[in-house]
Amino acid sequence: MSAWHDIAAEADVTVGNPAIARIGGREIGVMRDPRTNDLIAIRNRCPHSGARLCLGTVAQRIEGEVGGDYQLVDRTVVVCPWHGWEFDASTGECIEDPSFRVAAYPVRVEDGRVLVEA
Amino acid sequence: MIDCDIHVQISKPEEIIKFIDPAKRDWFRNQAYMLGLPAYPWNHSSSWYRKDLQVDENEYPGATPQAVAKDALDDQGADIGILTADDALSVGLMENAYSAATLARAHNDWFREDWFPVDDRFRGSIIIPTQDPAAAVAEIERCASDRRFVQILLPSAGERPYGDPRYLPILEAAAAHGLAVAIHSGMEGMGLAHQSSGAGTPTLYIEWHTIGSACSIQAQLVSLLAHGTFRRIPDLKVLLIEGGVAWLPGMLWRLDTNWRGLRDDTPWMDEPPLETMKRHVRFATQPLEYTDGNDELLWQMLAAVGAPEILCYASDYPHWDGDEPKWLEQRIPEAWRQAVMHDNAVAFYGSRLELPVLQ
Repeated sequence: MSAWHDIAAEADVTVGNPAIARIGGREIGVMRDPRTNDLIAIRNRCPHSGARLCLGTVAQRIEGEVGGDYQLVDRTVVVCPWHGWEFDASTGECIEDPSFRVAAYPVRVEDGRVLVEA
Repeated sequence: MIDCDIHVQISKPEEIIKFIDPAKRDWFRNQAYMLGLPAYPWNHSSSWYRKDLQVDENEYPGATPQAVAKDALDDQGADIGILTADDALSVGLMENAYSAATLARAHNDWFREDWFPVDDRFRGSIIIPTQDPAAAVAEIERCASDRRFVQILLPSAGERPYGDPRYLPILEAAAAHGLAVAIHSGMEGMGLAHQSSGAGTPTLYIEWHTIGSACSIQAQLVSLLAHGTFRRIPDLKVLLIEGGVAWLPGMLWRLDTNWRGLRDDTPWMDEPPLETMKRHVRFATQPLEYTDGNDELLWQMLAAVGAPEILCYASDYPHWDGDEPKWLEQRIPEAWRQAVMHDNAVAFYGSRLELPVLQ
């Protein structure tokens, strides 16, 4: 049964400064998307080799059609601090290998507090 | 059976020189090594060739169409034999790009005039002055209408790996004409080419033969995949010749691993490179590595990266380290034989393998 949990003050969650809380035996982190200023809540464990994922970076996805083509696209990714694997910030899916997925959680702000449903 | 690598030897340089403009012939006659081609610093200690092949005095094996038809086609049982260059594989590495264009043209004319008419089973490779991409494209355009040419032929050693954008016009021209691109191992450190391993110049023939040519083949595979060359040229098909295959699973797994972590450097790589390789790249079987009794392990590993579909038989006639077809056929799994010895090459080369439409 999931419930909403108070994680941190919204003002404390800034780009590069995640809030991390332990909920029911899992570490969940809330990160700030530098592009949209939205909050992202994901499990703080990379499904690849166990890195603390929320110590990585939140970035705008780069795609390209042919060699030398770099385009920023309308998609936010969480980039693992260890091996650079990219996870879709909304779904938690590893874009290059969908057999890997990190749990992503609903997040909202209420009265200046960050709430995560987990 | 289709043999994807039959090395035609130049025994008598005048056979090539006769296709060169008279004003330029003396230049080629007066070079230190054959026709001004860069020469190997590493030589086999006794011979590059199988010693059971009968040749006239002062003639190399594989130097006449009659000898090749007998040895490589009749005796080995080939339905089709794809002729590759030997010394002239290095034409695109000559320091003099003008001479390279002239020599490539003469070598291609030699195949067309003196070889193809002798036996309907011959197919050939177009060699090009790679160091001058515009001239290389012009030579491809000149030769492509003769459908007995099935591929362009490049050495694995070079100035830059072939994924570099400077080579796109060459690869695009080949694909546009339905020609495969064959990359044959060798020529490291010769002419314009770099050494391949990064560890420096090898001392011994065995060092070069083990590492030099395999490293540069690996570099070409990684380069073409990393640059997204196959996404840019969807019809491009590449055959990697004589670089070995046992390393292939390890290299592709390494590349796939790196791709996951480094994708923002190459965002145009839109799928695991292993999957791209399976659709576009084939590997000549020779020299199939000895496994000290672990053949089953080798088949399992190769199957994991797309075998048997990625493998095409090659003999490497007339060289000392060739793989005789009956031996190879018996060694590989029975279920692979038809594909490796014949069907994969038919699918890879397409209609250019059909009986020639003479020009």
